[in-house]
Amino acid sequence: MKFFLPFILTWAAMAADTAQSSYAAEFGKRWTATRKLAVGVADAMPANEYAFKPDPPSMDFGEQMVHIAVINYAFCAALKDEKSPATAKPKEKTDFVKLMGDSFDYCSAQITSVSEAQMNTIHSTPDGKLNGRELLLALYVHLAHHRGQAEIYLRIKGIKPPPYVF
Amino acid sequence: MIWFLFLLFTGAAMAQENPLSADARRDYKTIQDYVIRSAEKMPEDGYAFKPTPEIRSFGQLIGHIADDQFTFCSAVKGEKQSSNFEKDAPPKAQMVAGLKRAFAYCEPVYASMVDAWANQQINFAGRERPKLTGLTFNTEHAWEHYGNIVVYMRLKGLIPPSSEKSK
Repeated sequence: MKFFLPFILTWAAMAADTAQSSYAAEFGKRWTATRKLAVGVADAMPANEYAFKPDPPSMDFGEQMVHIAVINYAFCAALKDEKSPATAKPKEKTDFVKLMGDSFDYCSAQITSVSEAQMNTIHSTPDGKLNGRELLLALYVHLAHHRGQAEIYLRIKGIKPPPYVF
Repeated sequence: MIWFLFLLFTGAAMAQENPLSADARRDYKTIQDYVIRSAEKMPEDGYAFKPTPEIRSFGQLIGHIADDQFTFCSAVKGEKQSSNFEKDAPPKAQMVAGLKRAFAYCEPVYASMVDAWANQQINFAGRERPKLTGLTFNTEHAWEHYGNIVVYMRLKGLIPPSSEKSK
């Protein structure tokens, strides 16, 4: 038994590292729910208002949407230390909405397959060096911060944003 | 040798004690700071400002965040606590004081959070969810409303705290 114990401990540690992260699995459920709201916000703004911004220093509505999507890709690629996929610059409203949805789907695939070891590793992210858990929190609050701005853009244009989902 | 390996494994485990909770606490500190500084920075007469009539005024938005600290943190704590800052919309000084009290109520709940809460289910926001999720949701929800606040501040010609240059 004494002889085998180190091997058993090493095997147990390795198995834990390659197992899917339960934290990420729970987070993945919330990510799927919040996709609906983010894509709904992008879809709610009429095409001719995508260039609207409430004041000069701010991003316009379309830039907010692209910013959310591009940073989604960047965080979720970083979760597995991969290169962020290239994205085409959107022209039409349908391109913006698709970009938003695609970025969420990409993240969902990354989140549902991330291992416990990758969750505990330090990654280079848009917010600096973060472990996998910090990365997911940063991803979510970044989305919320910009979506919260876009919701007021919609309100200024007399549009009620889609209901909050959690 | 066996004892050495045992100590190595338990030592590593102890060093990583409650990492989920530590991450969640850090993020809460950041958003608390931004919301309090926004509430302090907006002049008194800006508290009634709303970009469009159908939505919350700046003061009501701050009140909503304050109320939610009591609602969500008490749900996690297993207590019943509530406040009416959004509904009452008191003057700035009282609102800022109330906001600080609300965050102070949540502070010990976040401080007592341990990673085991990731596996403890509570009824939160309409379904069974991990206790830890109750707190991370509170943080994320505050960030969404801070996003609203940013636009209100810009419309009043103010730079939101998150965009201020560090001194």
